[in-house]
Amino acid sequence: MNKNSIPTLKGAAIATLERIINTALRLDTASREKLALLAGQVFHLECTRPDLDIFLLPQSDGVQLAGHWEGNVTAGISGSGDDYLELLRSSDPAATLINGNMTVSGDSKALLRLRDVAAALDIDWEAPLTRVFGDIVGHQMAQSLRFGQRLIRDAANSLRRQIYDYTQEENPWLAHRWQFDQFKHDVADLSARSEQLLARAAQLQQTIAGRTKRNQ
Amino acid sequence: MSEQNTTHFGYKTVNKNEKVNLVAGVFHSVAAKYDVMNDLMSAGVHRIWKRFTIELSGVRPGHRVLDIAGGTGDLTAKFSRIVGIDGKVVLADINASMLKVGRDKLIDHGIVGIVDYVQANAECLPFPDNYFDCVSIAFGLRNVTDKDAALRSMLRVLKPGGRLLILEFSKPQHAALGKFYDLYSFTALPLLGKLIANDSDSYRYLAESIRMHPDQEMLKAMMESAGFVRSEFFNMTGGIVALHRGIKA
Repeated sequence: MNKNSIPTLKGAAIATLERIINTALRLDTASREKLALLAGQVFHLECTRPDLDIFLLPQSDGVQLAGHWEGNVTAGISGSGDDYLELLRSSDPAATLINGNMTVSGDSKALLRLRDVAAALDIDWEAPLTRVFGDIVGHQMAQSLRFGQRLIRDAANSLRRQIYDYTQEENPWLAHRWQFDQFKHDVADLSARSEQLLARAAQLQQTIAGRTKRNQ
Repeated sequence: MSEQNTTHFGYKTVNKNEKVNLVAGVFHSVAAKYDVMNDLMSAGVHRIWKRFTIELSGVRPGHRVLDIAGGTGDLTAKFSRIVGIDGKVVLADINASMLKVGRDKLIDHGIVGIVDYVQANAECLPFPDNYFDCVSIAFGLRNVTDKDAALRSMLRVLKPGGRLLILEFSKPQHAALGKFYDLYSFTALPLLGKLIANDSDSYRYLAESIRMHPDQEMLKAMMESAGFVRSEFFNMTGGIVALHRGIKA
């Protein structure tokens, strides 16, 4: 960022993101209360793919996002979008933080508490839907939404289980990474040797042709 | 009229005493539609400019903040969230109509107890020396008759180490953007003013007063002359708006 020039688009993106997060938090009181316990702390979230650098400040009634922060930071984390998703989905976030590709600085306990709040976000759509469509229709819509969410979650869990079972069964027949790497290396080596052999044969052919010409 | 007693009101040269009344007239006229017009004229981008101002303010819980020319209280609302119940925000404006709109809006949003409302002239602020942690003035300095006096007054009320933030229209940094901006300012703005606020003259004054306002470097020099240190500015939206920041030594 040019020191004397502030990108307006980045500011707009951060403002929009803040609004989305706060709207979601308003629909999940439990998460909002947990987040309020982190009020006063500052988290620096750096994402490499997509490129995003923001400061997250939990407050009693939501979060404040900032593109610029000049004070102390409680904890910082840096990684790609995929790394953040992996951390959110992980059943052992501490291990993912330590063994994963993310860079962590500062108070990692606070960071894990923040991650727990984000992972446990459970939005209750009933309140806004009943506000707009009335009690009966809103309730029915919320029920359908909950049913749909449950269906997707169950389907995802079932798919995950099946993939796990399949890979367990097929594991003995599948090549390990090191075997694959070795095979790839051997193929590359064979390719190089074949090229050398071809070059040598061509050179010999030229030599024989030269000698035959001289003898004639 | 002697040159020392005159100043600019848009492109007009007027008596210094007269400018206060003329500016007051403009803001009495636009106060009721001020927020709507801001959103329309800037397509909502003024909210981004104000967000960045808050980010650079360095305001923390418990701080005392003065929001000069605070108008309808956009910055005051944000500052009050940060300073919390241990802090204090003073919303000051020379114009009673703007102050009333701001006070009503903040009370409607449930912001009470943290904010004080003061009708005050930026050139002679009615506060003790070394009192505030941060002073902000957003889109107000260009309407002040004696800008140097106002800057000295802001320096006086700031604590040592306190920050002054001036968010103001400035000079676009690209010629093409400048041409488009001129066209927009002198045609679309008065038209919008006529349609929404039924007052095209006030929005013509807005466009003219922006052109007469010191550019980025000149305002920075004025801040340094007033006694601010580490003065710097940040251009936003191609320099259409600039945020100046200075520290009291």
